[in-house]
Amino acid sequence: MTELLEHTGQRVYPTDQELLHRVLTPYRAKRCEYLTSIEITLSGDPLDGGRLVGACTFEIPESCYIDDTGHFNSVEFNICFNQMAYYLMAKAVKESMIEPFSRWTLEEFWHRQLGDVFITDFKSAFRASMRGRFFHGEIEVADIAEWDGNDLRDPLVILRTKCRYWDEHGGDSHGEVAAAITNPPAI
Amino acid sequence: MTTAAGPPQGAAEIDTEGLYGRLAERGLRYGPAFRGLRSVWTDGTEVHADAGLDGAGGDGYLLHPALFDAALQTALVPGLDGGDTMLPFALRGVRVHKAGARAVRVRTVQGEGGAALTLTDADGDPVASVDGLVLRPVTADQLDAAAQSTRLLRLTWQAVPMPGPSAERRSWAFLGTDHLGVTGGLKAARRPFDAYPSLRALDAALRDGRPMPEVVVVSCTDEDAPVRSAAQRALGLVQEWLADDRLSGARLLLVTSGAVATRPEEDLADLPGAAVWGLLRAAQSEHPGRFVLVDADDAESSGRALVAAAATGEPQLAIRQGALSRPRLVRCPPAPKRTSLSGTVLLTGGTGALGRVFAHHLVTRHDVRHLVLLSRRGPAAPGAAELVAELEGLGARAEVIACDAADRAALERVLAGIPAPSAVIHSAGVVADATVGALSPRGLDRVLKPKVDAALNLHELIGDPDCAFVLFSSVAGLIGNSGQANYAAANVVLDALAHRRRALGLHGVSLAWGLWADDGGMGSGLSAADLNRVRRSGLAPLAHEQGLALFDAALARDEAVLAPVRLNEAALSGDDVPAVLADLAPARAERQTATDALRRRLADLPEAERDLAALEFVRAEAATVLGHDGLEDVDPDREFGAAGLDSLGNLELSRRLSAATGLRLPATLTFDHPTPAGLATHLRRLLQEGAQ
Repeated sequence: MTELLEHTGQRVYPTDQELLHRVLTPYRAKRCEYLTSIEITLSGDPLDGGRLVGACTFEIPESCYIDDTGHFNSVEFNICFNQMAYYLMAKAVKESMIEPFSRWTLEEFWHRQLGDVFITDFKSAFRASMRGRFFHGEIEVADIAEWDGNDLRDPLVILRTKCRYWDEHGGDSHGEVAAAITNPPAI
Repeated sequence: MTTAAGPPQGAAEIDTEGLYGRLAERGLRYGPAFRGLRSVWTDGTEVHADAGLDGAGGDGYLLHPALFDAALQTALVPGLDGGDTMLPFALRGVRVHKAGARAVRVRTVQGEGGAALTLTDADGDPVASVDGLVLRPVTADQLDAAAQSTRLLRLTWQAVPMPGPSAERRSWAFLGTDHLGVTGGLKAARRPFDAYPSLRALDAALRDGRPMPEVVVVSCTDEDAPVRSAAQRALGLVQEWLADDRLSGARLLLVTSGAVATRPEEDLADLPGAAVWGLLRAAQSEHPGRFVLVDADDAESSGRALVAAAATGEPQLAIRQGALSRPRLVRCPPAPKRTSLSGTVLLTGGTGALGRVFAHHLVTRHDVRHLVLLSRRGPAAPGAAELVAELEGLGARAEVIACDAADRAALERVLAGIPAPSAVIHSAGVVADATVGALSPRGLDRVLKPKVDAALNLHELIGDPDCAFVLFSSVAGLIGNSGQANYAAANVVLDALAHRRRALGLHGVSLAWGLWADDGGMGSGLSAADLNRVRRSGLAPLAHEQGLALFDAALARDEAVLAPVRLNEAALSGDDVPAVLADLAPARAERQTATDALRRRLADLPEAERDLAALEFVRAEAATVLGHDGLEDVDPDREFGAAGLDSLGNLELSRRLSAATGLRLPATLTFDHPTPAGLATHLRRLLQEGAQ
């Protein structure tokens, strides 16, 4: 279901529960399904002055790898990022939001979700620590680059994003993350 | 040396080197021939000086102008500590008593009607006298304007001495597919090397513990690859290279064949290679010391020269018949004649800011009576109707046609519907700036399409040898502007295309414009920091009338590539001038190297003062990059981003601090340490760790 706000040229995609469930499947056994909702807003062409943003809520009932540190740490930052990014890509494929995902099928995406998506650059900055179980997050696509294959390197898609997390208690962290998708479907 | 009337008792000697330095700081830059003052003394009211001429020659004057000028310079001495910068304005009562002097003692006394000067020879006999020299203040802007001259420059290739084979002792590797025969050349030169067919193979070898090769050679000419693919391949390689810390000590040597012309008559077969040159020039500006460009006439037989090229340390070289040369821009002599365009002229980018200026110029200063102005929006472009009306009011027929010249079929249709043009001017273009590390294939295409695709379409469709074919390129391609790898790539292709056309017996000239002052278009997005960067690089923005005069001058010359620019002469001998402009500087003094400046400064200070000194150093460097007057304008706790530091500024700051510390600092420096205070603390820690 999509809500088109005629006057602003924005499309808003509320949380697609079925898709979210599918995206978080690999996290279920490890009990770290942190992303609870994600509403995506597409304004204009994100590759030409527009924006593609996901507004998220999270819940971390308990850390999946360490005794309670009492605050949101960089490992959780990373896991939350992955969940936002996977969902964003899957939804972009499903709704044909943006190139090159609009040329892919969901099957092709699921096939690549784990094995072919790599974080290549990860910068995070923690301004004020977040202590609560519940918090907000945001992911914004800064760029999607499609690289042709040649003798030096196989074809590649690079997704550059900005992300941010915050809570009601003043907690605040943000970062810039780039992910590479290798083995993109041939067009 | 003593003369009859020695310096007065109690007069203090002034260091002449320092004197010329202080005059230069005020914008009065004297070249070597005019630095005639040998010794200067002053007691506050009178100035005494010895002045002389260097070398032989200059005979036949009653009083040599340079010697007289040196004498007049003494009148500037008393005002050196004052507020205004003064210049000699009027002379009264000038008498020459003795002809042919080559050295004089000068005595200058300030009086009511200006300064009175007495020039005597070694025996104390009068040489000349001036009853009154009046000085007038001059502003920095006036001096600046006078020092910024418009010029037509041309690219020349200077011979570079060839180091012997023993000068290159590093380990080599070849990466990728060899379309050029580079590996054969290396084998013939008995240069051992490893070969890796792809980046993946290189990565695997390094993971297996193989040592990192110190020079990695990549062949970049492949006749089957279009411009876009060659540029994208080079861009991807550059990004991988910069992102991989294991490669930080290695040098990437990119080899092309026929991508740049070292002589006017050379044919350029490799337009895609030209894109690689432009792109890599920008990468070199952003990341000095990491990349080397070599264009070889015959790679197979150039193995020795290629190895020698790597040993020179030069970033850009051509190999022709085994000899090395490097590119330098030089001034063109004035053109002997004027050429006028007439008939029908096709102008792409015709409704853009520059297009309008040139349309008007072609009608008013040339004899063009029919203008076909192409633009993507055509008559719907803002101001198109007014432009047509204005041109028609001047007596020309003007049509604005919506046509994307990058669309070959559309361009062909337009050309079929108009009379055969006597000239084509391709002025269309866009910029989409990004650092080479952040540039995407889309950002590359965005700039290549309107410039290169359109130019190639025009080239293929305009085969009339009498039709003038003028491409608007940019000096950004020759310099390799930081942040404009895509734009540089596109423009070097246009430069190469002009050569190509000439080799085919057609007309072709590429004008590598400097920045326009007020083009309302491509340069209008420039910030104060960007303009500051341009000025420090030895260039200044061109005013419309200056650009148009250079256009006319360029048409009168018979050359494939000319760079019409405005030089900021005052900055040409500075540290920030690109190598390709370096020879334009008047009598360049050896540069003071800034290497290790911070490290050495801290070493001279007691421990307790080092933190503050490091902070002040960071603030001063940031102030230079941001274009501020001094470090007080940089708040120690304000984030760099909030203070206006953009991605290019960040790169420049990292580079300066790397040079000043001798440390290799990452490009993410100001992201990891976002305030001057935090960054200074970080640098202190790194330097302390290094010292232990």
